[in-house]
Amino acid sequence: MRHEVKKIAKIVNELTAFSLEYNAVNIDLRVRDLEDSIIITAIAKGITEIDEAVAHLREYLSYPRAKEMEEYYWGLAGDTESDEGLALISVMIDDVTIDYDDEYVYIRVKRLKHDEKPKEKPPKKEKSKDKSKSILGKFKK
Amino acid sequence: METIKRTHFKAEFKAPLPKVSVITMYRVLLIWPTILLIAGLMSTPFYEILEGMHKIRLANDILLTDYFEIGGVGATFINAAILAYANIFLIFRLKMKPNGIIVASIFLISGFAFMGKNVMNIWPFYLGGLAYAKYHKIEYKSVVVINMLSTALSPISSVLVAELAEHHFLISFILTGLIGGFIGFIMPPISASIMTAHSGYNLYNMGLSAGLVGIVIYSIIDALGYEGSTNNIIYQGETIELMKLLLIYCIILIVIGYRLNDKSFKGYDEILKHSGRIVTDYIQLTGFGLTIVNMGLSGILCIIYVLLMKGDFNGPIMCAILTVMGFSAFGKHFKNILPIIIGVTLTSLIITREVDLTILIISALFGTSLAPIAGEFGFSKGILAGMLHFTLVLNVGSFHGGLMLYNNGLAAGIIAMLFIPMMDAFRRGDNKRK
Repeated sequence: MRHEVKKIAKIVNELTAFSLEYNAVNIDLRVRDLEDSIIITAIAKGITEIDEAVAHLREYLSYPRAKEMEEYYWGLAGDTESDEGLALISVMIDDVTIDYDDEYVYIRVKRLKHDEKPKEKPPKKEKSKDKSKSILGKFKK
Repeated sequence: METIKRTHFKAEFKAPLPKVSVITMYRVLLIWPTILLIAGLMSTPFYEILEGMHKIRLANDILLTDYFEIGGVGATFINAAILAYANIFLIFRLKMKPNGIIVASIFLISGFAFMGKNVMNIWPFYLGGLAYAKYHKIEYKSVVVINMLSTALSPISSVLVAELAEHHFLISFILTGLIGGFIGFIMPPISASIMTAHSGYNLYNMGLSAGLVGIVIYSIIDALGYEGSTNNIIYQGETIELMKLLLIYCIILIVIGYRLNDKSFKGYDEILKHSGRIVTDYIQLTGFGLTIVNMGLSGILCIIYVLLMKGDFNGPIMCAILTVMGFSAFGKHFKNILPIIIGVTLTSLIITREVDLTILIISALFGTSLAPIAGEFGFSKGILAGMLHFTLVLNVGSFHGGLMLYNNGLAAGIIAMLFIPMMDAFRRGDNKRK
């Protein structure tokens, strides 16, 4: 993936802008860089018109990941001041969780790093020493 | 934190849309090239088609080059069918699910196969894109849409072929490959970068991107002594049958869309609520059925406009209508395109300059690239954007010497770049999401 850091920053930017435009008074953002994915979590407190905000999140974050759109349109994400910006980040992410109550809105998005699943290595043959251990383990059980 | 509602996977977010399989989507996309293929073979003897396609290959394709006039109606239909089939096949092989921008790109390619794109002048751009994907170790599917759209600069390939083919076929072939390939290689980052300039209000972003590249290339070859001139080759024959063909296709789309949407038009008003700004993918938002209904309706609106203006359904106008139809899957609907069309038409009554009817009509139809402005700021602002667009589009062609086919996309991009900050200047307070 190219411009990975910028794309992550754009997603963070869009989620922040979305929360602030709905008058959030406190936003906790967390970015976790895992081996196979990036997880971005935003917890916004005090969003007004919460039902409308969640409805917009649901509608626009439902776009499936589309790499052809990502490569062309990613630069716009975080810049639009409109719900189309959410659609832009939606084509860049693989999974979304939304959770909310009267006070908080929790958004968690996951972006997979690799296009394809890494090939699984064939299992190594166990050495005789290990084998005896495992047998011993079974015996003990 | 008490959980009231928890939503997980993307697919669960929305109320379920009528299910349409990917194969059905591809079948629907194949209807238009199949109509063209059958109509082409039935209307013209085979040897005339071959002769016509040879003439199309040798044309320099500088704006405006109407393939109906160059190679005849039959050869043009076959050319358009081949390009559409090839691109649909490519998308299918890459295992891509048709979405708004893919549908728009296929229709755009099919449309410009009536006025500037052919098998011989577009291939280098795809090779350039493939090289880009290999170079950056990314999947080709990431850049294939940009490749399809960047064929706007295909007249550059044609000019090289036309200038050199008679004397040095091999040299022209290699030069075409190298220069077209180079453009295909550089367009993905350029087009992504230009996108931010108009904030997604110009649906034909590639028009602005390729336009700027075209200006630079034209300046270079002009400095090297190239003496080019723009074309005004427009088909003058009878076109009423072509209109009927397109009208039938629009009706077919509406009927199929109606059936795919559970035999109803329920939900169509949802489409009209969107401004159309990038990214507005109607296939995702309202389903494939209603999207093709919208495409059919936009096509009929364009046909009515051309008839009211007493225009012909020549190559450029067919191209413009197909492009509007394609982008009706990706932002356009009759409510946001109408103000632009009115704005362009009104301006033609005001300005003192005499404008060819075909130029006027295609400016109005291609000008709908600015539809998101009408969708977001309202009807009157849409008319204003259309008016500004028309005055500019009459002048930008000379910047790139007709080497770039999306001349209206270039003008619309410049208008959008200025119009949006201008509207911001008048807006009090912060912008809030609707």
